[in-house]
Amino acid sequence: MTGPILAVSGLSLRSGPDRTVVSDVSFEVAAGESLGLVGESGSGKSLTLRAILGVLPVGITRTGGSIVTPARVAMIFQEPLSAMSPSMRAGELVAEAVRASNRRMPLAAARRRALELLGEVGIADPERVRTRYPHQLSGGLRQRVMIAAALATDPEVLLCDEPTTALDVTIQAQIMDLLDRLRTERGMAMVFVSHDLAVVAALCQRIAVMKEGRIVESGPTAEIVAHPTAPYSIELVRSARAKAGAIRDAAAETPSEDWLVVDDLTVRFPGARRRDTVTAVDAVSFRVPRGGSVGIVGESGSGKSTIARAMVGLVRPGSGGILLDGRPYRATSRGEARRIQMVFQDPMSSLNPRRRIRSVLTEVLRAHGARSAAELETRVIELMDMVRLPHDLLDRFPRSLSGGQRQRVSIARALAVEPDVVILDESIAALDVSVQAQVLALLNDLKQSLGLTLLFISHDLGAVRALCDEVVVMSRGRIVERGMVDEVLRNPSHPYTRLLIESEPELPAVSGV
Amino acid sequence: MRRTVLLTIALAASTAIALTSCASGGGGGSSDSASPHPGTVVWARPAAIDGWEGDKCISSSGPTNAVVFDSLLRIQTPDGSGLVPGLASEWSYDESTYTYDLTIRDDAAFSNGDPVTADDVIFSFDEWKAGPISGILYASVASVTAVSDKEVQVVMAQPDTFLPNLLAWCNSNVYPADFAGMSRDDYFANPIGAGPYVVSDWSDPGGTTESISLVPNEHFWGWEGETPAVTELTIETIVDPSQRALQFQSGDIDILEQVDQATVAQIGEDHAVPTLPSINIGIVANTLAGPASDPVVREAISKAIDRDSIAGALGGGTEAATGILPINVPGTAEPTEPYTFDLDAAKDLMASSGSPDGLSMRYMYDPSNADSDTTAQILVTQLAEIGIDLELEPTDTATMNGRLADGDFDLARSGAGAISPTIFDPIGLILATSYVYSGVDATVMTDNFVTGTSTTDDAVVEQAVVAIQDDALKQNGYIGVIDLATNWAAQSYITGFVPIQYMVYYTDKLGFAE
Amino acid sequence: MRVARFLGIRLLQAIPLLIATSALSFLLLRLAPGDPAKILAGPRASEEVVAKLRTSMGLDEPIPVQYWKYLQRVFAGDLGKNLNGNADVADIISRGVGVTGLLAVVAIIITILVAIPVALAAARRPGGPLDNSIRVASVASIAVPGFWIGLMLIAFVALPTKWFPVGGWPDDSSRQFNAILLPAITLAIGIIPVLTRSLRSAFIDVLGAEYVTAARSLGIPGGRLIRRFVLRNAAVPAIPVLAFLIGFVVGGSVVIESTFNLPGLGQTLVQAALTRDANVLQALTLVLGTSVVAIYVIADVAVSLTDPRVSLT
Repeated sequence: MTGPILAVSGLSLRSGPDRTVVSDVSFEVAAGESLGLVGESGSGKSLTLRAILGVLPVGITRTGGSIVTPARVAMIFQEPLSAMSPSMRAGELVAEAVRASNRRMPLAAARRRALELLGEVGIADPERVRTRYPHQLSGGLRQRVMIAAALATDPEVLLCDEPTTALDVTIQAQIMDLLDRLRTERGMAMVFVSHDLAVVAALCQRIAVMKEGRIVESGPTAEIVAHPTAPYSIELVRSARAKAGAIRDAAAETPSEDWLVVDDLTVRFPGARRRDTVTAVDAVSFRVPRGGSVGIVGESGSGKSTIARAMVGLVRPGSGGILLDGRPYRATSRGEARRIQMVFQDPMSSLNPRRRIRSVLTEVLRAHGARSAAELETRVIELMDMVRLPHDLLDRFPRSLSGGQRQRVSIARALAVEPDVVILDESIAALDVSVQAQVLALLNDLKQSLGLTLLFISHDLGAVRALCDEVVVMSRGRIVERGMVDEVLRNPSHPYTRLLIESEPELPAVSGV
Repeated sequence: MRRTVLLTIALAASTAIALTSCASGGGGGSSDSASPHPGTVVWARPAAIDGWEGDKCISSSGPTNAVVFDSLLRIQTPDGSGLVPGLASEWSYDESTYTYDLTIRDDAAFSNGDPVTADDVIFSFDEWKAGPISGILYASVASVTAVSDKEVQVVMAQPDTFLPNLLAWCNSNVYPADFAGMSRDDYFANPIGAGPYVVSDWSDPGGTTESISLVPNEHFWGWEGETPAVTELTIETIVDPSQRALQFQSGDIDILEQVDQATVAQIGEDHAVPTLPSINIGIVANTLAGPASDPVVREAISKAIDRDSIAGALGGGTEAATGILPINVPGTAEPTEPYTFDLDAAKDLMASSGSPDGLSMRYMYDPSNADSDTTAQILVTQLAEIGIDLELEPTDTATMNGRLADGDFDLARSGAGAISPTIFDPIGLILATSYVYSGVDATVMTDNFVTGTSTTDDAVVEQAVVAIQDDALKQNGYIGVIDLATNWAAQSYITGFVPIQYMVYYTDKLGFAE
Repeated sequence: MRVARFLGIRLLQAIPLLIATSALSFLLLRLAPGDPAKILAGPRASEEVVAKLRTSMGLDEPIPVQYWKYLQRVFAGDLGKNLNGNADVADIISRGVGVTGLLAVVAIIITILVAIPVALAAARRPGGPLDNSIRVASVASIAVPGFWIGLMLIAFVALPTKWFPVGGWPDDSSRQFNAILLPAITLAIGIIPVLTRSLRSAFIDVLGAEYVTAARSLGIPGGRLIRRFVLRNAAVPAIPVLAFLIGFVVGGSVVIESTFNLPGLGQTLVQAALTRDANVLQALTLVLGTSVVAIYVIADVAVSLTDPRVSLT
């Protein structure tokens, strides 16, 4: 474990005649060491990894710098579903990777080795997983398979491009453990890219912070976290802590009686055969007071999103119902539709790419009664102010806006009809951490000023803590725990809640910040 | 990787060509020096034969039945001006008793060795009369009896001069009595005839690539004890005219039937074997309804057609028509005043007609034939001169026949040719077809047809024919335009190929040039 | 087992479809102008003869009755004889199926063999010089009529070189492949551009997909990458196009068969239509209808086998 095994020096990349995307980036990683690359989307971290691997996308060229790497470098990707050929079984993929670095190995031997590797990455039942296609595996299993494939080449350097960003928090914890173990067992040099400082801090020994293609600061993790010096690093650390220990404004007044009631809601999805029927939501009941905010937490498949969809009429409940202000609420009836609005997870796909922002907002206003052009314009400006967006964005298309800006537009759209309840379905999950903090602050303010009732669905406990008074924990369609947020998160009673809390990566606590 | 794929393809392609061309073998040398398949003659037709039954032969199998069955009487070659002995060595007609006496040739024999006897002829007559399609042709045969082993007497129901011609038609195949013990279906799948050849293989019967292989009938009277030069005759159906021409050019085919001018141009003039022009082609007009019902207009049309120019454009021995009946058929005569081309008179007639400002008319024709197409185009320009706007309607044969029968047309291409050496053959056809379609008064034609066919006096015949022609030119229900010659084609190493104008030729004289 | 069940369902669905098609074509044929009895009797036949013939052929009965009688015969296994009665429709059809089938198979194989590398080459550099020249060539080959290409091939390849016959179908089966080659190439020239186009789009999508980058990053070599990662995934959108092309080839063989004088179903179809030969036409409708249904069923199964995300039910 002497000198560095990976050395990047003065790397510069550009994507057009005058668009530099990576500028003079240098770092070194020794065998068995892990370096974290942190930064927002667009900071150039992924491109840096691809440059190291030699698989730059079409249009990106290297304009300078040198990269010294050993022969065997492997990469694992952010979205394993896209990274796996949909028509190839998991075992075959790993076997192909094995044979790629051992050209002469016969097929049977390659398959045996593949099976071994699947076991090595912590898959409990390699025989079964081996025969599965990517779409038949869960996100976590897919990522493990990709890691197994990467290991097949017996790499000395492992590049990780946001491999846990798309995963649930408990799975994320497992994968992080796995990577850490593999690093130490195999003595690989590891470069771990993420926008989430907490994750990187938990996993890596050294951190390099990137902004707009440059490294603004780098050093041992403890240093960076405790005493960031570059302005951007400071901001980054602050956002991460803000989310972790967020203080939200207490409820303004004594909460009134039940405003939104979910009563014994059950939603079933029929399968091809009787026994394939999935009960996504199983007799769930809870209440939300007026002006209150409730977070629904759980993993993918727990049913939390399905409840939201049932509320806005996107799925039909098998039994049970929703009550709003004492009366049964049906999303499909004309005047009622506007009373519960939803903000979705992916702002890119929930905004029509062919419409300008102004049109997005006026369309909703028109659908709910607004008439004259003057009336529309006034209202639109009001909304933009409400979500703190500059007016000139009204004439742009969604693709010219950043993720955070788009999500604010989605919020504005939801608020346009003056709803009683706003449901946020994982609405900040796709955003960079720093941006998440900003949006959470906005939501808090709106809750105060407009007296909104919020239902926040998330797998991110930190965000829930920042925004909600109460929390409901769901697992497999059922509520396993509920209560005031601080209570539950401090003293979880259900083992599942405990698991969720433990899996959450946190920045090491430091005094004085 | 791309390179390897391309290489593989190139390799595969060249291997495929190499291997398969080795296997293809035959067909070499230029088509004219000598036959690439000596001893065999290949004859190509545009459509499959209708089978070997005489009853069905009119549509398509005219020339082929004679190959297997010969006929009692044959038509004289090369000018088709009369009848000569076939299986019958002599015949005579007794006017007073309407009776024919036929003597069967001594050496006439079927392919199974049995000689042709009176019983066979009597059996055949019964077959012919019973045929659902052509039986009516023999309606006036009252009785057929055997005078001796080789002599037959046929008694007609009324005075008749037509029977000998009928006996030369493809309907009159001589069958062995009781089909030589075979069932009817089996017999017609594998016929035993007294003609020069016997069917040895019949593939795709009735289909689009029918192929019939024939070998010489050893017992045929015409070989006179010698081995025929042609040891195998193949009759092939090739539907597409370009294919026929191409195969002729490559030497795969020796004889082509129904060759139009376009094909002649492709295979070369020197291969064309014309016959005498003897098919009258013209226009049938709807006299009962529509723009052609005005007789003045019809006369104007007749005068406006420059027949010589059309005949010249078609070439191949075609001549301008003088009347409605085909020339070069025994008994034919011109009308007293044959057709003339007089554009001024035509224009005057149009001016005095019910439509002096011009007319629009539809002209229906079958476009699959180059000659038909050319004629149609020329008619458009010629009739435009007198203010008639001719709208062309290319139509397939089946539809055309339907529309003609329904009277749904203004003008249509029509015509009549002879299949035996008597003018009353096409006259009968016209009576049954063009005259029915056009709706003209057929009294004069019918009366003279009866007169002409009941007499042996040539003067009376001529008078009747002239009367028919004059009447036709007065009514203009059918307007003759050209006399078309059927063209055949043969390779230059083929000898003894003499087709006649009645769409038949005899195969027993075929041979090869040295 | 799921495949077997799927096939069973589709088969059941196909039966009413085929009956409806057959009934419709029977109706259209009977309504078309042109009288089969007249055609059979010939131009010289008198009206009474034609009328008698019509009765004997059952043509003066009401159309539904005629069709019902026809159905009864078919279910008893008798497809009837052709119009002039000297051949069994079953024989005509089986001969035609062999020829047209071989023509279609060879044409499709040639098409696939050419389209894949061409599309791949075009997809590697979209907009590049190779891509553009391929596009121009594609337009040209679709625009030029098939019979012209066929005639040119005969006139300039078969006639002078004598490597291939000018036309016709040899009885000798060892020479049949040689006879089918030029016609198959002619057919292929017309459809290669279509398959190339859709394969090119599919390849562009796949080549840019993340799993190709991932596979490359794992060190998987080019050839294997194309074979195992690219081809199979690109095939999925191309399979329906190919099914359509196969259907087109079976139907479009008419022109090619005439040009090369092959006794396939296409030529038989044309001749039967011109002569209003009901028995042959009906049998052909059934055969062609069945093949089209079969092709699409096979295409669906193929897609589900190629793309595991697609299930058959």
